[in-house]
Amino acid sequence: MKFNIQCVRGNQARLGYLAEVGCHGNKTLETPLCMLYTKGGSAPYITAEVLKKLQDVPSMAHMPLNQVASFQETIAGFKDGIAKFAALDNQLVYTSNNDPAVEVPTGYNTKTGIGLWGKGGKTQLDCEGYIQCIEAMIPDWFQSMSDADTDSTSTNKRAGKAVERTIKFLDLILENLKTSKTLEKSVLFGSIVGGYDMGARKKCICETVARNVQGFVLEGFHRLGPSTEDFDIKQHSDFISNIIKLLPDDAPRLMHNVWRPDSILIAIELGIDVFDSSYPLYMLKFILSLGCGAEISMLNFEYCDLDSIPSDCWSYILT
Amino acid sequence: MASKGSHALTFKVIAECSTTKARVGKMTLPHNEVNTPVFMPVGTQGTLKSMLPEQLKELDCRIMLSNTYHLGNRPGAELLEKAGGLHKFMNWDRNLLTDSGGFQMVSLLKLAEITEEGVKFESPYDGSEMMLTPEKSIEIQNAIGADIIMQLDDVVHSTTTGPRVEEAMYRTIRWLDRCLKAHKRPHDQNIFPIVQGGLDAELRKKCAQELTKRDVAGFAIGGLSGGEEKCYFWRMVDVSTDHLPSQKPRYLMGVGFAEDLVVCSALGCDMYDCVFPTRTARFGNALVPTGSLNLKHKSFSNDYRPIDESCECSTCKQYTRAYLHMVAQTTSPVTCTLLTVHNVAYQLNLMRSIQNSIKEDKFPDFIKRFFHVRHPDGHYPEWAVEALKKVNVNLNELSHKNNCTDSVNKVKS
Ligand SMILES: [Zn+2]
Repeated sequence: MKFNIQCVRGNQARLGYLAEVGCHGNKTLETPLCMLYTKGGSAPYITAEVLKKLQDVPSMAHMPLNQVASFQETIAGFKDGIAKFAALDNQLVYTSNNDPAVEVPTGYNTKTGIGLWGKGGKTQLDCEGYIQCIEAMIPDWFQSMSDADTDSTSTNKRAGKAVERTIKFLDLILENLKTSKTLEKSVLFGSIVGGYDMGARKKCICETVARNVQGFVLEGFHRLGPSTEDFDIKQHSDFISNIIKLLPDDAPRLMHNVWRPDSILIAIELGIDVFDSSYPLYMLKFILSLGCGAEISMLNFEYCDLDSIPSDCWSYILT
Repeated sequence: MASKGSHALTFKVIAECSTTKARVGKMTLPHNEVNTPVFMPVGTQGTLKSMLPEQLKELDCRIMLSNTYHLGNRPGAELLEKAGGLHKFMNWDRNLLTDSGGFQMVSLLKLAEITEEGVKFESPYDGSEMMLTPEKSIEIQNAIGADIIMQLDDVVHSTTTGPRVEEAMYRTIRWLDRCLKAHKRPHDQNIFPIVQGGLDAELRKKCAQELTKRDVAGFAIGGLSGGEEKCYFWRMVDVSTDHLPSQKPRYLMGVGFAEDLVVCSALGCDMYDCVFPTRTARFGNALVPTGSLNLKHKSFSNDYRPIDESCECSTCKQYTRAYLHMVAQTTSPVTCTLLTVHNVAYQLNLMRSIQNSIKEDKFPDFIKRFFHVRHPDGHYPEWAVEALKKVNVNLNELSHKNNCTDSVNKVKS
């Protein structure tokens, strides 16, 4: 993968493009980039057929591992990866460990693996199991397994442990990748964890940068889920900025749960390049309403002004 | 006698089965032509849940149903009128049919009470007393603007017996006259009256005869498919079609199980609606020629075939049973969309097959094959055997397959 930065504006805001991305060598992605949020491999409510009718659909589909980890055998049996399995052949795929829209229960990560919660319950993944999942899914990008079970209440000791585990996972994954033909073209994103302990963060970055990763996922600030809507990125902007300063310029940086549009602008200013789009589903329960420019409460239909909604949006709203 | 009024509907029978009462018709409505027998998917509140109008068009759906009760509540007749009618509001330029709102009121609102004036009910919003009269129902349906609208009828539960059934039947006729009088858009909307009469063949006959005297473009058969015994159900359908004019379409309300569609088409019905195909999709069920598949079942976790190899729908063309199993298990909201598309396609395909076999005058063979695939053990539902016998099709006769072997043998000898 190649990452070309065209310009840097303001503080650290980067305009760039990614080329020769993963398994789809001919695709180019412009950054800052928003990914298409999915559940079980499909955009919420939207089939592949309908997705084709929509304009400006993000090229990168984001498929959280926790949703489908318990279906590893089902996906593996299909043989061609999750993009094709989900009828999104033309879509690039990024796998994160967890679903940004769902809070992660604390206390299920260990020295040897992580606990992933899906609809079918918990799947405990060690590095081998993780690689099996990724090999079944064949993503273009994938987030390295990590211990991101930290938030503002975590002790420095816990943050240090998170870093230790995450680096150990990374080593094991890199070891496994050497022999994986299936994942030859897939791009590994290193996970930057360590809670709010700058020392731990520094260590994590040093160790991760020293290894063979092509992008970074910044996490471990919170436990994901709806409450992150209130995560005040401004309040932590110095801390995040200091983390980003330690990262190489030539690799894309991804951060989950940057939801509100004002938060996204701040994150871009801090130097984040890639975002997820779990917010529309969480916020309005239907993904397209944000595009309509009007916030409509389903319960107060009588207050809605028809003239403010483009007519082709009506049917989506009613669905 | 009915005067020869002009209607916003023409119906032409283009083929008739020489054995059963089945026929193929071309029904021309303001928004386009519909081939019958036809299944109409139900879009409760303007849209079919989880499907876009465009997707319905791709399946060649030409008419769908919407519920007046729900639309009247939300977004309301006023807003719909402002939007230029439901067709525009939901971005659907094909035909629509709306019900009267009465059935839903009686079944959804506990406090509904029927008087000669109309259906009295308590507003679900502010508890105030409200009244749906025949005039009001037509006024709302005129605002919605569907191509076919239904008269307000006096609905009794299909298992009710005694004088209440007779009262409801006669009231339905009186209400029809009030509906016809209140109708403001006869040039582009057609009112269908509804044959009532419970499970009493004499009342059904009487009702059909009375309704036929009015100047209407088509008829509905109502008050069935509410949990009555199937052996009564088919007899009521049969007697109703016997006494309705053959040159007008007959709409059997609320019926949509595949077996019912095949049998009732043989009994001479032309139009159907039912929420079943879309509702069952929400529970992870896909309709197939053998019955239905529950995709949540573990056996589909490594089944990489489409739901139905012969189905041309976008779900079957792009997704495997294994994928549908996975999304059904993870309760991904796309599951409902994918299965709804397929189930609607299944219903529409079934109707097309019925039409084609009638046109080729091979409908009896089609019926036998259809039932054989669903019941390979030969244990056919008794009501279906009886109903089909009435229209000269003997399900237990030599199956289609045996007939083929016979003819092969004949050729050999
Ligand atoms: Zn299909």
